[in-house]
Amino acid sequence: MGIAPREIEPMESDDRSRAPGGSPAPPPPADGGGKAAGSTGAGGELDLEIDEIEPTSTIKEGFTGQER
Amino acid sequence: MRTLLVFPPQAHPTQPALCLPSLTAFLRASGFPDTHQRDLNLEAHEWFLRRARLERSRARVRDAFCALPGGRPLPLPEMDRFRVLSEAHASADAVVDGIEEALATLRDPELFYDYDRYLRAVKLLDRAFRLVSAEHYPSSLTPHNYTLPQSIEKESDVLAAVADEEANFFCEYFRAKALPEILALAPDLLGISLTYTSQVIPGLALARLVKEAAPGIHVTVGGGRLAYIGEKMSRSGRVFSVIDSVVVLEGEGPLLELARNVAAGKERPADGVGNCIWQDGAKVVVNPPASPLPIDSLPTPEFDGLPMERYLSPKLALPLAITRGCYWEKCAFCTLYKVIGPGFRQRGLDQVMDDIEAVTKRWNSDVIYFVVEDMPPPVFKALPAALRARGLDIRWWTDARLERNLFTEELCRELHASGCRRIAFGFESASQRLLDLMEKGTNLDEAEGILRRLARAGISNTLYTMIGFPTETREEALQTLQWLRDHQDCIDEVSLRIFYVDHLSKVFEHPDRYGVERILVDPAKDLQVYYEWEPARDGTGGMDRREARQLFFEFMAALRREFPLFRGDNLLMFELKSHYFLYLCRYGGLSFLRDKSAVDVAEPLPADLRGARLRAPDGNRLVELPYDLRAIAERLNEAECAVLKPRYQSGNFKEKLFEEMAGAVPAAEPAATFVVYRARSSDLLHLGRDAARILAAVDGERTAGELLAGFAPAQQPKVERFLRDLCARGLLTAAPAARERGPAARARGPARVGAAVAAAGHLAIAPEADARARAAETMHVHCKPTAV
Repeated sequence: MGIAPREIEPMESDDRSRAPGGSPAPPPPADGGGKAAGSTGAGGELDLEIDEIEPTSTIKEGFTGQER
Repeated sequence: MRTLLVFPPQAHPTQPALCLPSLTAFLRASGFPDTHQRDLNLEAHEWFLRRARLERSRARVRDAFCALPGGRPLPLPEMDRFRVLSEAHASADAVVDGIEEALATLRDPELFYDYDRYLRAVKLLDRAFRLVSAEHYPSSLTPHNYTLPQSIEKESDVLAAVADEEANFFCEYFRAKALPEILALAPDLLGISLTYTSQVIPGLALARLVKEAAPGIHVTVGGGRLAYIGEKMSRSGRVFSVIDSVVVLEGEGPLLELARNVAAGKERPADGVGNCIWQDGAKVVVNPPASPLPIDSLPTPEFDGLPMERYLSPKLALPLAITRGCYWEKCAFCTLYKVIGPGFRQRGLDQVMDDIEAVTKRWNSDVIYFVVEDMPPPVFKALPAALRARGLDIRWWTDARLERNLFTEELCRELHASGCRRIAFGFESASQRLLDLMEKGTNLDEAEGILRRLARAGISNTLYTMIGFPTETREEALQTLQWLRDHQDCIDEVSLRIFYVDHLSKVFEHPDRYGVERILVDPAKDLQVYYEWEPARDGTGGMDRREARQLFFEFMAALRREFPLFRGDNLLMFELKSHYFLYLCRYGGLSFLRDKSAVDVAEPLPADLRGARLRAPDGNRLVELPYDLRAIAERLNEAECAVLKPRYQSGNFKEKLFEEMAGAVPAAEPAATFVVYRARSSDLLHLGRDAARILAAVDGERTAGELLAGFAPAQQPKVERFLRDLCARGLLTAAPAARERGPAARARGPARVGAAVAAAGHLAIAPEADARARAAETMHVHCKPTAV
């Protein structure tokens, strides 16, 4: 199954039934969908996490730098 | 009689190699003036790094991304493909739009030295390599390697790869450009240099194409790599379906004889040529060794014919040889002294001065890399005066041993005055017991003094260091790490690697002397060069291989924490040697990166954030994915660390990773997640769901205040802090908005973020994108040009 077409979900909608790739839809937030912008997640907590994704590197190949 | 010598991909595209210029000069001076040379490595890189070609990669990656599986657990091999395609897809627009500026920066004599700009250029270049690689997954091209699904350790794999034009994607360039030009030149003799492992398959593939199109051309291969595998590769004779002869060891003499025989129209040109292997009917013939030439007799290398103005560097580091072979010839781990020449030879200093004068004038560069195994003490002592006497003002670096009684304060000062800015030493270990077992002939007690005297003189150093030499204990390895830490005030660079036995080394010949119980020879790997082994079971064998590999990563983690050169993005500088050297010359040391570890990404914050218009920086791209890329990246990186054998030795793409780890690494479960590609630093960040939605709602028109008004009052302070954080991370720009009154402002806000998203619809997909692309984009913010 390929990645399904999908539009950006607006903040007020928590309809996640169209998750990409047909992945199972996560459970709806405790406060339900269709709320005002920004109201999201259990108890209105916003999921504002940002985290760097670890890059690959030649270090992983067991040497550093160029061959002599 | 026309000869063409070519340097095939893949090697580093930042400077010319010495092999072809040496051979070209020798043939031209020996009665074959119609000798040409081409750096097909650089030309192939240029082929794939064109904007138009990258656009094609982008389209093909997008198609492959659309076809990725979803909705079911992903096993390890598919995780890898998912990561490669997702990252390439997210970065593709920025790569296509930025490649020309990045290449121009690397070639520009001033912009190159703007360190932040430089880092951005090399990071984008790295993404460009990944985009091209993703198009051809699982083949992979990096600045340091080119790996295919096939292994370089098996003849059958190599020959399969030579015929596989999809996986071995340099064939596209060969067919479209290199081959027609070679055929147009119509050489009688074609020499293909295979210096690096990564050149073997592309070089043989080029040979195949040439032989198919013009069977009359005598195609020979030579170069450093063939000193290790030339005979193994020729044994079955199958390789002679794509080439006519193999030259092992030093090439000048054999190539000249081949040229003479081809010119004379001999039916079997390789017959009787020293160092040559060829096929006579069904029989493989290994000719006797040729006598190494006295290098005094060789002409100055000629670089004419190479694309000297197009290497990815603002100034060329010109390679010149003073010696061939090693004057020490004893180290138990090393085999270079057996495969270069063999035999130690030295060029007269007057000739070296002539060489320097000729190439620096001709190519308008004052940077010389003396290509030696180890510069002999008498040369170190004589070089400063010789350069001074000829008025040669150059900057140079070289390799050396930590010779006792050589690097006095006075000599260090003289070396610096002569232009020496870096010396790379074979340090190996801080255990004197191991140094003695290796027969290094160096004394640890003297190393510190040498490094300090060089540092005081302004000469940077590199310490080649290894982990896992037979009998080394964990304690001894940690002792080495501690020594490096204790002396970091006088150490600039550590080049660290894990020791593997190669089949020409003393350890391979006499394993019992080195606590090696058994060397693990896999008969299926008929081209294998590096071997695993089992330590002696009586406790004298030292660490096992897994422990050594684990320690390697512990070392690297410590170096990345504690040495400026390894920190964050600075690592890129470390990996690009001639660039590093140019920076050393420009800034006199590493001070330029001591307070820096990453590309600057922060966007300025206006005093009145609420009144500022928000937009995403150009090239940033928000993507929704069906699996958690962050978790997958961590899982893949951990798995790669656990694999024993590095890929640069086996050459094939992650075969070991999948073989060893597939059962141990759990599959990735479906999980809708968001990532944003940050164009300025060419990296990816994982975003929480609401973080992604807020970022998607930024439309370039609405102010922060209007966006915040869509949130409940209790949430607004948190969201405002988050917007500031986005600016600090380079994910948002905030520019003061001209005061608007009247219907336009009233019509736009205050509004809910959902409405803002709808308003941003015209930005979501570039107008030129086709319907398929539109369908593929799960979440795509295609930003307008900056309106400053």
